[in-house]
Parts: sequence; C-alpha cells; structure tokens
Amino acid sequence: MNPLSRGLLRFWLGAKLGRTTPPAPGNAVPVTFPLDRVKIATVQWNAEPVGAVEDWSRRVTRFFEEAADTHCHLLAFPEYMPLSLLGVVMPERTSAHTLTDATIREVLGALAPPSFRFWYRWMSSLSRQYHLVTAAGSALTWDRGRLVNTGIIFDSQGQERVRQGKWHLTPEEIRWGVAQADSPPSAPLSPWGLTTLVCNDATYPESFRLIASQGARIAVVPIADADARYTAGKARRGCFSRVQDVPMVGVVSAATGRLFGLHLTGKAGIYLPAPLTDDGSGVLAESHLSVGEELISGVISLDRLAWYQERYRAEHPMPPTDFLTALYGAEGDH
Amino acid sequence: MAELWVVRGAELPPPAAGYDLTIWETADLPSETQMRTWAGWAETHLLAGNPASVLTGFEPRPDLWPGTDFALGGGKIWRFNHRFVAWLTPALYQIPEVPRALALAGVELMIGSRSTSVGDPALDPLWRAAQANQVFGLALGAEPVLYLPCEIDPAQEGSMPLAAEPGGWRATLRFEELADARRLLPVLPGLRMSFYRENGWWHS
Repeated sequence: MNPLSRGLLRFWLGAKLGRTTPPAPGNAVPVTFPLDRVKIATVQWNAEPVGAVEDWSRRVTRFFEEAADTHCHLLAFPEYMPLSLLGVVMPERTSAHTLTDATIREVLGALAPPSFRFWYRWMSSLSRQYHLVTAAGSALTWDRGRLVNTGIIFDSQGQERVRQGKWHLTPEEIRWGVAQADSPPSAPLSPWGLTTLVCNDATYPESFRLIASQGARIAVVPIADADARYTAGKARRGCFSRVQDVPMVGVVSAATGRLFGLHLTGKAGIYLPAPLTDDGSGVLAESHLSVGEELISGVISLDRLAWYQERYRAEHPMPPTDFLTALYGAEGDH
Repeated sequence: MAELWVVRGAELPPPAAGYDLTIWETADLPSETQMRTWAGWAETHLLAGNPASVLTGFEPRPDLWPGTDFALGGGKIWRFNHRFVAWLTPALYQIPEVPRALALAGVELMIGSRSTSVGDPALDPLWRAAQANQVFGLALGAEPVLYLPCEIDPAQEGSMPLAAEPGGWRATLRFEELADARRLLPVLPGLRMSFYRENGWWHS
C-alpha cells in the first residue's frame, strides 16, 4: 500500500465518520457518586465490522441508555472499540480477512487517527449526556510516532481522567506494528481508585501490583481475545486470577465475533476476591455466552473490599524489598 | 518426559519400577533409613513432605540432591533428572512473586496441597501460579490434580485428574511441552523486567 492509498483510505474513513456526530451535550450537571456501593455495568460487544457508522453509534448509545436506566455509575467497554468502524471502508465481503500482516499494519496505522477521534468524541459526549463514568475501552492512537493501544476513562462530565497504554502486547499486535507503552501507570480516578489495564496486561500479576501501589481499587480490563475456542480455564487466567492474588475489583469488558479474519471470544464479567462473593466463586456477574452482545451489571462494596484488603495483607505480606529487588533487578530483560 | 507416582496413604507401598519420581504426602515424614531402603530398592527418586511443606527426599543417583533454597528456606527446591521441583505451602503460591521467582530460576514443577477440593481450579493459588508462569503444578490431597498451561492441555482448561494406579496415581509430565506453551503465549519472554524495575511497586 503506497502513501497515496493510505492517505485516501484515511480521508475516506474520516469523511464517513464525520457525517455522524454525537448528540450535543447539555449543561454540565454536578453528579454525586457513592463512596461505597458502586453499581458497575460492563459490555460484551459484537465487534464484527459495521456496514454503516450509525449501526455502531446506535448500539453504543443503547448501552449508555440501559446503564443509565438501571442506575449504574460506571460503564465499561472492550478493547479495540473503534475497530469495527473500519467495516464502513473495508467490508468483510472484500476479502478483508485475507489481508497479510504487512497490509494490516499499514491499514491500522493509517486509520488509527480518524477512528480514534470518532471513538473519543462519542464516548466523551455520551458520558456527559448520561452522567456515567465511562471506561471507554481501548483504541489505537499515535503517540510520539508509535502506534499504541490505549485505554481511556472519562468522568461523568466527559472529561478524560485516565489514559493508559498497553504494556504487554500479544504476538499479533507486535506483527501489526503496535508498540508497547512505556508510560508509568496513570493515577486512578478518585474516589473509587478506578483505572484500566488493557487485555494482556492482566496476564501479569506485576501490573496489578503496580496499579495497586498507585491506589487502584477497581481495575477495568477491556479485552479482545483472538481465540476461537473459549474455555473457562483460559478466561480465568487474566483478571479473575489477578484479583484473587492482588485483591481489588476486576471488571472485564469483552469484544467478540469475527473481525477481519480473527475470531474473538470472551465474556464480560465483574470479579472479586472469592471470599467477597456470596457463593465463594469470585464471580459477581458474568455474561452467559462467549459470543454476542450483552450488558451485565453488579453492585460492589468498596468498604468491604477495604476490610478484606487489610486482612489479606496481614495474611499474605508482600515479599521483602531485597527479594523483589533481586527478582526484578536482574540484568537483561524477559 | 517423566513418570510420577503420587503415593496414597500413610504407608509407602511396595516399590515399583517404571517411575522417575515418587511423591508422597504424609503427616509423618519417613526416616532417612526408610527412604534410602525404599528408594534404593526401587531405584526411584523419592520426595516426601507434609502439608506444612517440611520435606525430605532421597535419590539413588545424586543430582544436586537435596536441593537449593532460592532464599525460600532450605529443602523447598529439589532437583531430579536435571529438572527443578518446588514443594511449598499454598500460602506461598498465593504471593505471585514467589512462583515468579521460582519459574525464572528454572523450576518447572510446583507441588503443593490442594487448597480447594471442589469447583473452579482457578481458586487454587497453585493453578494460578502454574498458569502465570507456564509450569506444571501438582496439587496433592484426596484427589490429586495436575495443573498445566492451557496451551498444552487438550481441554484447554489447565487442569486434569491423575490416572489411578495401585497404591496411588500416575502423572505423565512432558516437560518439553512447556516450551511449546511459552512459544504460543510468551508470558515470561514478555515480562518486561526493566519496566517493572523502574516502576517497582515496592519503591512506593
């Protein structure tokens, strides 16, 4: 793909997206949020390419409406939210699923700016319209010449409050030219200690240790797992496992469906340390199927979490500093 | 590949051939003489421990045995057939830096008491340690279970029951498949030690 083609593709997508604008936000309304019991809604999203921009915006708006109607405080969306918008310039019937890695790399790089802008504008606007704190999922954006998969959280006034790049890439992302983020963790949003880690970052206990040290108590993990075969075992390796060993609230929002040759599976879920759930399962809420679209919700108690964290720290103290320094201080990198 | 014999009961059964390592969880640890007699006759490595992770072991062909300690206290790490084996309490597996340190040091089999007898294996810290570090986990108890990386489990659940044998159970561990798991999902290669070193949570 030559520079002219890339430029044209970017212009074409920008023009198509520019025709659909989010509703004009009303006046800012002061919103009081609870300090203890927080109602969380999280989305399982059908990420298949859309034929029309309105299809994407209508479905996103519907999730905001449903979350607001059911008195939720926080709404979470999955990884790579804007990617299905690429369908308006690259329909699946054009054999987009046969693209080589090199072409995908060029397409993603070229189309990241308009799709990121569109996603950002809509999420910010709808957060403000529906007075919801929104973990908007993630999208690709250029950051100092590097293409980074970036999660963003907006407050209920539509202001960006958390921006977190993905630290640990998948092999596919590396092939597609995505760069790993090097920025330290973003400060969690008060008063809940809300932050986000993108997908594969939840594979690493270290990432949860790091955000916990910053005061995080609710971690939203947007995912888009390119794995055609969903199993509970594979799903439990991420956010679910992390919140057992580094106690906090884990919220997973999942992209599913066929997307440019990938078969995404996953479940949206709200996970807690097992002793904080009535049935001891560690699962507060979870979507029924590993494909399709659904909104799930649940109420968590930050006071109970604080009580449990204190008890847990006493029973499972962190290793001493010299142990950790020796462990992570070794020369070389893994 | 290694064949493990997980012994059931309070008494050692008669020695049997065809195993590379015998694992015996017992409240009363055997004496060195008992172990030498049994293991020497069977020509099988024997590792015995109690639920509190007090261990003793014997092998007829010394191979850095008994093991090193990796700053976790003596007698927790053993070596057999050039493979490192750790036997710790569930509480230690629940501190994620401990299994991480073990895996980075080359431990490929982590042994512990099964901390949950029913339901989701993901509630067992040993299962989580096996997945996070892509090693084998052997959860002992009334119904021992082998944990393994989902990538090399045909069911992709990361957990399988052991085959019942006279006197206990058999577990076949294909250590060479751990490399396949780490190639398919490169967890340790993607760890980014320098990033965590710079942003270490233990500094704050």
